[in-house]
Amino acid sequence: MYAALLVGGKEALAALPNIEVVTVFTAICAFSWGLAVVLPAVNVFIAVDMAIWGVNTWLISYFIYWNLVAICFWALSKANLRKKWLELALATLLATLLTAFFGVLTTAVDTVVGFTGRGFFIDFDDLFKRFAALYATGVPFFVTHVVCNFVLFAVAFLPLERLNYKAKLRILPQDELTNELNSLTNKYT
Amino acid sequence: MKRFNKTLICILLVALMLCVLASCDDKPQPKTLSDVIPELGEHEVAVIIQNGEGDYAVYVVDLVEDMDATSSSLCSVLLTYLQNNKELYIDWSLSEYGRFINAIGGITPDTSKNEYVEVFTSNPDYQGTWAGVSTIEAGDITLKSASVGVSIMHVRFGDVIYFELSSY
Repeated sequence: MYAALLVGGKEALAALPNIEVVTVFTAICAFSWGLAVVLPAVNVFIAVDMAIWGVNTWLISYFIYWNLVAICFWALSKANLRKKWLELALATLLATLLTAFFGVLTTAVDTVVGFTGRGFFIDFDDLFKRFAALYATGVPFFVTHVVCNFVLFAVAFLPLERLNYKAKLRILPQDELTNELNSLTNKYT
Repeated sequence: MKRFNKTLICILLVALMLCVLASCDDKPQPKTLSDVIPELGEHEVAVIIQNGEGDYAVYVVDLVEDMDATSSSLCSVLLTYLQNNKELYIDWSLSEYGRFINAIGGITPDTSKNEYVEVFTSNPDYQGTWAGVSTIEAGDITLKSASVGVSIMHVRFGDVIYFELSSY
């Protein structure tokens, strides 16, 4: 279900460059449901995108970035933060840093790795000069991306977390629900 | 069983993607262009279109005398001048990112074969910097695939703009 949400969310906003909901959905899925749910969802999303858009260097960036987002927010969920404002602040900060990293990652990948249609190749010629030039051309898009995710996380992270919590109460079988409630009790006492 | 299936699917997907990512090819080497680029005067630029194998259309424009430009001109303005004054055929459309060339001179891409008009420039400010960017060596001049479209790219004195049919 989450994989479908990621694919649908991405395609719905495809016309708007670097404005996306995939980061926040991945983060929420990792935070609320754990790695067992988010990692398959993220990798199914990447596989579906590969089927739609074909293979190219973006695949490497996606593979690294979305799995990193999933792992980082799963780790954040393990911090058992009691104060909601602190949880929101850290989630928003983490999202902002990861989104800024996305610009660096995609530029680095596109600087070093190329795709001919038959396979990937490596190009290290004038590495730093080419990286700087390529990054500079992408700055307006990267800034848009960072600002959008900052606002999105600040506004939507906690409400989406609450929504997922309620969904868990409905979906989880009784014994898993009991375990979940016990862990939440331990978290908040 | 359910968790095992989910894990298995995840592993298979990751393995599939790793197989795709592991496919390798050689880095594309620069092509060469011999005896096509003309000698340019102080305020001149060249626009070259590869209409076919060994068939090139070469246009030389004096930016100051022909176009009243001071030091540079937008590439799209230069092409419009050629279209209006030198009967250069251009089929272009307007997108949110500027003008997109659908066909130029004798180059008519077949989109069903993923063909397109690739724009090369000798101006380092507008040359692409991604890995393996298409490169053409023409004597002392290095042409590289442009990083921006013709609506953004400027052409300065001495620049060479080159169009050829490419595919992806």
